[in-house]
Amino acid sequence: MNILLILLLPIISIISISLLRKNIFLVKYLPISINVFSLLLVLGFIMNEQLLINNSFDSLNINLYTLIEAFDINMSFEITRMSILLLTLAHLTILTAFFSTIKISERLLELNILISLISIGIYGLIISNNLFVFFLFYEIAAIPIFLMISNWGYNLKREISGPFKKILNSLEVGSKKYASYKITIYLFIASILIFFGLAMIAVNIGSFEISTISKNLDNPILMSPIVFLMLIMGFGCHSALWPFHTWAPDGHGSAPTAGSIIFAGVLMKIGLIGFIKIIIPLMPNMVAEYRELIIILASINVLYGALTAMRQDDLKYMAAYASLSHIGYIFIALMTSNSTGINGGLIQIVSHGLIICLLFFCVGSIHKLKGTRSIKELNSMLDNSPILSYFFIFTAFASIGFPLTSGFIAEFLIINGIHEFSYNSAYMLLLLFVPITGIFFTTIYMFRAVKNCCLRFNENAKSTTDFSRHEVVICLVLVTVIVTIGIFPSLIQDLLGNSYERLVLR
Amino acid sequence: MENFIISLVLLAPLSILISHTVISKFVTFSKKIYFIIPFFLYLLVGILIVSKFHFLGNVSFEYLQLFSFDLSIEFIFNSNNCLMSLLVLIISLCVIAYSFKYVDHESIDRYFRYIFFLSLFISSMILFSLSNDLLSSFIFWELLGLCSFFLIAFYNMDGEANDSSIIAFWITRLGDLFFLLALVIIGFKYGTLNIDLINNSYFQNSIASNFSNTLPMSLIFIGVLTKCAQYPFTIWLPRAMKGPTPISALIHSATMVVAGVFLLFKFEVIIIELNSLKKFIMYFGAFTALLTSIYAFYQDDLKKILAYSTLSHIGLMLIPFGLNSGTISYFHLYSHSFFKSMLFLLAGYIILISGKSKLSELKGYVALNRPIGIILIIGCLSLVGIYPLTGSFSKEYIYYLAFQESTEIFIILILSLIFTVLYSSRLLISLIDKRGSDSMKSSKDSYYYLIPLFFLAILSLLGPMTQDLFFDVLNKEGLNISNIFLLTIQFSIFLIFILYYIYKEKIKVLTDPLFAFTKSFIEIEHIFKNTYKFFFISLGNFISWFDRNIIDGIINIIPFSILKLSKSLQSLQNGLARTYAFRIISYLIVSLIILGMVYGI
Repeated sequence: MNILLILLLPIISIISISLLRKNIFLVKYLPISINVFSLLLVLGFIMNEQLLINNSFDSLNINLYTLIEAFDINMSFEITRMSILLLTLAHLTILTAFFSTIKISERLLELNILISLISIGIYGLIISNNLFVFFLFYEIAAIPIFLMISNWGYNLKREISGPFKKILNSLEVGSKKYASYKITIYLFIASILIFFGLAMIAVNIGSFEISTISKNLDNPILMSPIVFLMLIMGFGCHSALWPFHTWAPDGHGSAPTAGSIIFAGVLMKIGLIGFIKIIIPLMPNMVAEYRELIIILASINVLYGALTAMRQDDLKYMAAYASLSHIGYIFIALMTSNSTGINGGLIQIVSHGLIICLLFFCVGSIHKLKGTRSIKELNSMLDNSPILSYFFIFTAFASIGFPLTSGFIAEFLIINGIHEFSYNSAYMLLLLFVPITGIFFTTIYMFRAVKNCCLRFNENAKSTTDFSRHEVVICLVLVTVIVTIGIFPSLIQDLLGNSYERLVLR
Repeated sequence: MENFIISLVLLAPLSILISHTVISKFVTFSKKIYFIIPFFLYLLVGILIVSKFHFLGNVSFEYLQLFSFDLSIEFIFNSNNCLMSLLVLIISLCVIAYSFKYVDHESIDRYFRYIFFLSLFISSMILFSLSNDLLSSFIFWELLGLCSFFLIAFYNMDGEANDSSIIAFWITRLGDLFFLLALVIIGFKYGTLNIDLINNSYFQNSIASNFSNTLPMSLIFIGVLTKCAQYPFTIWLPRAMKGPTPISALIHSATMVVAGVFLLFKFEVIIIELNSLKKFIMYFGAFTALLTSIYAFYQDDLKKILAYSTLSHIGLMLIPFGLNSGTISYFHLYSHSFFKSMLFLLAGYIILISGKSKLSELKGYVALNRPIGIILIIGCLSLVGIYPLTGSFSKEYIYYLAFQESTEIFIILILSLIFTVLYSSRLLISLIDKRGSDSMKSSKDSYYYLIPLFFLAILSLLGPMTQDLFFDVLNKEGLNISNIFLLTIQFSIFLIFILYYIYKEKIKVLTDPLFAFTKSFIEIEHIFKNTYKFFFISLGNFISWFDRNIIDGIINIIPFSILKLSKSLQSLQNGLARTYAFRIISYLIVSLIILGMVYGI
């Protein structure tokens, strides 16, 4: 029950900072401290239920009240091991986003309110156990994004050629207006698809409760390809499954740092949460049928994202494509349908969230300190701002799955899972080369950026500003979590326990 | 005790990190402390390993609970592993002592970068040698690559150093991924990653060497090829010489590049059962040994000569695997390390004092009667394998083995030996000034540089004692070199040396076509560059163009067409009274006509 306080705390934070708007210090640090408190609640839940030791905990169901009786729409929540893990990740992401706004002076209050609103949406979405409530919280999270990009975003230049030149030029691609409209409309269409899909399921079964639906798995609506494809497209748009990914680079690129962190850290996870909570447990037959399709799309994600990232000049675009590529591993892992692969996928969700947060935070700081994000223009960072560069290089190492970081654990488990999955057929073994090639491409583009930004030396580069104290603090927190998972992977595995069982297709 | 040793090893890099990031904020201390702490920690580790040698067992840690198999990290202190870690420790201590003065003038940040990554390297190399499972081997193997990346790019003012470090990292990383794949396949097949268990279960289960056994070992071998910079991945090692010389001495000659050989040695029992793979390893080694020794003869840069010589020696180390004797390759690894790191440190000293690195500019620079001249002679003679210096014994064994087992390998080896003698004598004859003039005054600081050099020189002189270390194993394998063979080899070495001394120019002209031939094999950097350019850059450019213009264009058709539709509908509402009046009248007429047609008026 206490755990539901996390949905209330952001509201408290919004009200109190709006009342105390005169005090800049409180506006900056009150949301941070409330978020930390909320994180402690989650960690307290882990301690209290002894999730790390006790294997018997499966889930905690809470039904607050009934909204609409007719369709069994309840304010019901389910806390599982997986949602606790995702909550921790979401808290860290939101915390990083708050830290990235500290240096912003214009309309900080509004920005922090928007971030708090998004956090309510994300937390509720993760623990909801009712399709209607799921959708409700989802919309809470989706709306502030438009305001965030259109108010605090950046205008970029984008060169256009090819057959669609006229179309793209008429839409003013690259401007923050374009990006904010694009991301909103894109995700809105996605949510319409999701809503219709979910509504069709719920109306046919007569209940919006996930637990009720999962008792009727042989209902024909759960075998309907139309519903399935609607959901796949809807959630695929969110987690940037190829070819529904084009919002991601524009959105990440134009958004303010806090926005990029939230997009990559949790917004792209909404689609995955949909897969984990809804698609795979409720429609296992359809997933088994369309498994190859998803694997192929995800493999394209991995390779295509990496190859595109290789030629980006803007660090944020590079990071956006990198996260696209890393999301692909998660899809492949979830489709392998064996314990190793699924656990790898779940760990990759956390690991990718943490690493991409750190990457966007570093890129945002680079932009702030050096005035540019262009790989061509940046140089001598290792000499002029060593702390920033060490964190940036650390991120590069973490994202290529270097041992002793969480990325390695995730990728190792995923590759193991793929091998286990494809062991019996020779041509499926080719699938093993997807993550391997993906990691190699990641090495190439990440270290191209590291070489040009950090190592390349220019005597004329005089700007020696480096991370300030609070930036070091949040980076250290993220680095500590990443390295702790890397060195003691059994911690996260104990926390996950047997939650993979729900995701194994039978 | 084992835990204590391992925590000491881990403490060294950590102590530097903590003292730089935390303690230095509160207490001011001399930056020399960064060198002193790890030096004494490693010294302590060395003493502990030597003194407790027979009492050390193994120690294991739980790492990851995988569903199909258990993964734990195990360190085992058996004689091979301990010997390897002692070797690493000895050379590391020399290099730390040498670096003490070498990087003294650098700024505090660079100073920290140097010593932190150096000690991280040493620690991971020691733990790599002690590890008894593939997972921890892989972890430390990757850490070696990381340190190498940072240390090659230490002089990042030089753009070429940056390029070299990135190329080295990319290539070794490519190999590492094959290693990772091997890890996965082995783990699934044997249910464990413990090296001893794998070796045991191989013999329990398999009858003949088949594809499923060869595949993971071949993948490991690809990893070894890249890390050892064997053909066709030779390009990164000579480029890596852009880094500081002590780093080249430690990482790029004595330890990291031979780590792959040590890894293969751990799997010796499996590899000698896999016929096709072991032949493969042998020919790769022989090919590299020959090519690089020829190529080294034509190099002008002091460090490049040594780099190619290192490559050729690593090639030599790979050959015995094909001849069923991994121990000899380990033996050669061991003896090679001392004289090669000594030569590197010496080259660094010469370059530091003279400020030049080309052999042609350094003619007659080293006086024979000064300590440096003596060290140079010891190094060069050890390099060619003059009895009874350290370098000789293991080499004789390799030649003898090849002589007995395989003629074509023996011929390749002899050719390689000829060129090894040629480049060493070129090095010696060009550098040494016969008249013994004082062109090289030892400067004030030179003792910091000379003490480690002397120490390594003494180790290079202790050839017979090195042989004793491996005596038992070699005896068990029944290898006794006949004296005639030994004499022939020694005699031919002297003969070539004298021939080169007399007919210097003639030999050069005579072997020129061979050089052109080798060059076409060794200088394959353009292949890598073109692959990068045409594959990665062009494909990346195309795909990013495709993404931004085609896919995004298609997606944007929807909002565009909606906008267009709304614009065309907008024209209906243009606000002109004339148009509205016209429309009203025309609608009226049309509806009247329709009404008329319907009701038939």
